[in-house]
Amino acid sequence: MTKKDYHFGYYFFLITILVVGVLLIIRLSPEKNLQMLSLVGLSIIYALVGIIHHLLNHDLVGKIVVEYILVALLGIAAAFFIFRGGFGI
Amino acid sequence: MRDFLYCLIFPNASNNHRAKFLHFRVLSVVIAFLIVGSFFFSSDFNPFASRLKAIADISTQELLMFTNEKRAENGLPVLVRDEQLEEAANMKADDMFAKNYWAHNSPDGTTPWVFIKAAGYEYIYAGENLARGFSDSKDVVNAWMASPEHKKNLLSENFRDVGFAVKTGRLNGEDTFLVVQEFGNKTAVPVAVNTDVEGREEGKVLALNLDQVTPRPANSMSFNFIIILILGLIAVFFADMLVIRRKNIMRFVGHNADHIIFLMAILILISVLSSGYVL
Repeated sequence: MTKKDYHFGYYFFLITILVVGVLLIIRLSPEKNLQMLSLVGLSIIYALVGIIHHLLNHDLVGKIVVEYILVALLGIAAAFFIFRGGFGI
Repeated sequence: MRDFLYCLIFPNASNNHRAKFLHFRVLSVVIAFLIVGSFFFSSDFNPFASRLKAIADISTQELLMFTNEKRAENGLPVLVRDEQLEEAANMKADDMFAKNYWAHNSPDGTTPWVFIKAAGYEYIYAGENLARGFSDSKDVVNAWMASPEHKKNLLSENFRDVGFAVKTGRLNGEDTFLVVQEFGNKTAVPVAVNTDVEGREEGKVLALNLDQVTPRPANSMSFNFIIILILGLIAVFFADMLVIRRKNIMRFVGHNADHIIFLMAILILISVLSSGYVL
């Protein structure tokens, strides 16, 4: 497998997981508590998939782990902000 | 100022070849702001808890006006506001908040018709539409019109009267606006010509709908703020990726493309989370 194939496979896998996750969460509507919990789960999966990808690619360093965790946390925090009603306006 | 903005968005030597906006410290501050803000601005802690009522632009008068507007556009006679149906709608809304359910029938099996009869309205035909999470009367009516079953109620020639309730409260742990629309007709004669009532039982439900229509994003400042924040972040990740690729700089960071795809998924989900529903 070439490096190009490997990256294509990774992105195909990542996009599939996110699309399936988004569709499942939409289907849970209007159970917003469950939707929020599922979004947290999807964000954790995203961070794990990214970290494992770098691990397999032999370029994993602490900074990359922190970066994936922060981006996943940002997604959760943004959704949580809306879920809680935001500024109220 | 120009240098600061350039440093914030584009990678260069002064920001260690990573857009400042993507530095861990800045991302952490944004995350902390969103989490702390979620609690501070919520009704549990906010002294201005009644803001929900203040920012909504839903009134029973407007709901009646937009409903009748749609009926007039379809050549149907307007519905008349009925106090008993209004009382029934209020009872239904109170019951939903008290028993914490989002359905036409309560968990103990109470149907909408119980409230209509309890209000003293002896119907031959009755129907019910529900909506929650909207902040504008027109959006509520448009969402009902976009759903075939709700539209059937809205444009039914069998209804003569209507009653609305608009209430704020907590449903499934979420502060929300609830809109209840009860339809009725005390006479067996439909109000329009060319009606076909065959197969419909008298004194029973007409087109009681349990389908959910496509959620519509709530038009609010918070929603716009989050959308702009995430779109901005996506743009910065994209700019960072392009500049680094062009300059061919080696760095140990995650794939910006991953983050862009993930944030786009979050954008879609936030639209779902901030939506209103009709039932």
